[in-house]
Amino acid sequence: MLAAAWLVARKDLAIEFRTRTAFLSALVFALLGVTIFYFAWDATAVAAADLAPGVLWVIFTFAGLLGLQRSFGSELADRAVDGLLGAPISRE
Amino acid sequence: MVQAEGLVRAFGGRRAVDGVSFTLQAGDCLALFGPNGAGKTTLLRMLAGLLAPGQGSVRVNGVPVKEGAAARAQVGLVSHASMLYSVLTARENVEFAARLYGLPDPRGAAMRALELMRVDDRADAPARTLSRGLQQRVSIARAMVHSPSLLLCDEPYTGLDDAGSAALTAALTERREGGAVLLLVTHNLTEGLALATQAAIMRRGRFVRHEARELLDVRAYQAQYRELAAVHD
Repeated sequence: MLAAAWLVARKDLAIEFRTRTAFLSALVFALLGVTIFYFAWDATAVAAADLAPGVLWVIFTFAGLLGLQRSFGSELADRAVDGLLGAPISRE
Repeated sequence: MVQAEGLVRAFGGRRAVDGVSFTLQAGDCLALFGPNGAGKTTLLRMLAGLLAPGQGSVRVNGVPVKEGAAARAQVGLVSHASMLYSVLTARENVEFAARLYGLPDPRGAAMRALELMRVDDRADAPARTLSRGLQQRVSIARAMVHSPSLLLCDEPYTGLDDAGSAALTAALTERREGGAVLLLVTHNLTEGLALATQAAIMRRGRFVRHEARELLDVRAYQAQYRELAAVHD
């Protein structure tokens, strides 16, 4: 199963290196997130050290979801996902 | 050998496939005809293991398709959609499939499959830059790369020029003579019957005719098919 997962991940990385769509989307989202938190943050109410972990996790999580969605989009285009589902690899 | 027994699949209240059974031996080719919405594609997706039947079962060389990887390894599918990654090259697409099927020399197998479909000269072109017909050739190469013992083809001639059609017919003939089972869905009776050992007409999810090719009166068959295809459900 790990070999198949690595195979699919390598294919996704090859696509990402050529298009950079997921990376750019995640980068733009991260910059927007930091900007919004910066202006919304009240320095007198919450210390920077207390706020930073939450901000980081929000950005990591949503940027990751954005990348996942982009990656899955390449599977749905032209039904490439059927090729994966029809292959003799674990679906779990 | 492929055995389908009592296959049923419903979407909502409508049965897209309604009690289809057939057996195909090694070297058989079933040409499946039918009007739009007859259930042909749904049947193919069940045979490929992409869709679970509501009732019934499919066995490929004795292995139930629902049991997973061992059965799917023996099946190849040419679908309406190309199933290609547009950013990857033709070779990378076919090579990726070869790796998924665990072939020992994936790059070599990919190149041989592309040569078979006479598209090896465009092997390093990204799939998105290829014409519809060339994409179809790559898609067929992808489906054949692991030499499946059951090859399911849904309108495989769509978009192909004369050279592509000839390459496909030659490849399918070679596979059939090599003992593979073919299931060919098409609206073109001439193309379908040229390769077939059995022929069936599907309508409203059922086989309304199914017989050996050699027993067919082609002219009467064509007339009946035209009549059936003209009737709207």
